[in-house]
Amino acid sequence: MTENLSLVDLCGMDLPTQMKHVNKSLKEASQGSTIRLMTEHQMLATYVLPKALEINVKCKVSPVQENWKIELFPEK
Amino acid sequence: MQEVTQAKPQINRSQLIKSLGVGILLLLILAFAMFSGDSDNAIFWLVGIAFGIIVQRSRFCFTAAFRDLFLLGQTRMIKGVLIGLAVCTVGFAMVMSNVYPNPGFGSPPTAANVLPVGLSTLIAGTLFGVGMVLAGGCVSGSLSRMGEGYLASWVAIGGVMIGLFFLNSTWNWWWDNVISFEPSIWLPGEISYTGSVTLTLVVLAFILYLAVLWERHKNMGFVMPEIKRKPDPAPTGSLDEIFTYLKFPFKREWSPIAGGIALGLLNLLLFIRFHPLGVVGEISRWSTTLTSNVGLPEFVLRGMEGLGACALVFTEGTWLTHGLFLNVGIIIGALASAVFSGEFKIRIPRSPVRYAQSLIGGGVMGYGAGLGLGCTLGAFFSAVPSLAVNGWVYALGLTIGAFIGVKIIKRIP
Repeated sequence: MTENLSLVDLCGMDLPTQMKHVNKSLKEASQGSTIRLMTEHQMLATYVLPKALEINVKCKVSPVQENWKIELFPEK
Repeated sequence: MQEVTQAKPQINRSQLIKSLGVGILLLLILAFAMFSGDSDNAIFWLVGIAFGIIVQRSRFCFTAAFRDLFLLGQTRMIKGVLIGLAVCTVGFAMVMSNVYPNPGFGSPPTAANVLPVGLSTLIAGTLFGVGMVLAGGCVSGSLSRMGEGYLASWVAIGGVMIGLFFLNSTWNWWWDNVISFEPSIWLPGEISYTGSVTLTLVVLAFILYLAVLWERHKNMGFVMPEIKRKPDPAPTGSLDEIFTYLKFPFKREWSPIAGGIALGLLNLLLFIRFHPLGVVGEISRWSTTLTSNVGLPEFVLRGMEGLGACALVFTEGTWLTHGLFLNVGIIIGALASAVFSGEFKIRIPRSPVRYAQSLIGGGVMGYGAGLGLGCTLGAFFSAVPSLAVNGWVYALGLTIGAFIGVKIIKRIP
């Protein structure tokens, strides 16, 4: 299992670009990586939860100041 | 005994200087508009400023409303659009019923955006929908983002002008073969004001219900709560308190619903005195003037003079039109709001693909806006409250276009 402990800051990018990053991260997490992302979009935080559930990736979303931190971990 | 010290007021000097500078600019242009030969220019300037501030603070975005349904399965923005339309519809009906108490007689109100409806409207809406998703913003949204410092939006508006030039070069074909055969359908003329308003509100409520169902289905019921903000510290002096009141609208992001209601009321205010909001006619004038100045042909557009809404209209001898003050007001209003809230930043896309996307998206959007005689503002947000069927057909086109646009942007690397 690989672990990418750095936080990828997506804030300021347009929403479709941020969504592409999230989709790529979900794929990487399903292959064993741990990924942390930061976004200012509440919608993206809502979007990622069911997507993670669909592909058995653990997902934790937490507010950090006025942004959202999304952590994606492989199931086991 | 514990010592209590009073906190010093925290005024960011650089922020204050920038805000004062922008504030003075707004007032200088207001004064110029008042004495520019047509004092109504000042009203359009103020409406533009208000529009820019509302859109910047609430992140109100017609593109996001349609795009996010398909991209993220979310309805945050479409709720704002629907509420704004409902407010506007009731207000427009009140105004129109005063001016035209017997809708069954004569033609529809000339100031309302009642346009020919048919295949051209659907194609226009679809093209506009695809273009706005590609460009990352509709025409009015791109104008306000220009002020916020988004370079890609400047490129998108350049694309819109190119698209409008191509539309103008093919307009006569559309007019001769399609648009001149299409009827203008104004609902009060068919089913009275009461029936039209009731029908419009019921359809808006039904769309809201469908959107919420769609969101619940796509997100499996997950709804992220709002982040609770820390309360602001109490003001420490009279000057600090006055600054607190001035800064209040620029401290927090407004909800899209608040943005929708504010835009609906703004549209209504403009309609009471002049005509509904619309920005494309003026951009079409910029496009025609610039292209003819570089030696490209200028076209005589058949049928355009009687259409109203955002149809291209030339004002002989002056550049200082209502549309100019409205459109520039939107840009400067968004700039002012971004500066007042400390959010202004020049945003340069990292990927060159983004420039091509903005230019092509803008071009497609411009063609659609020209064909539909308006953008999301003139042909949708002002047409539906005008109780005109063309607004709904355009909205259907926007939905189809946004769906196609999302499919395309998902494939762009």
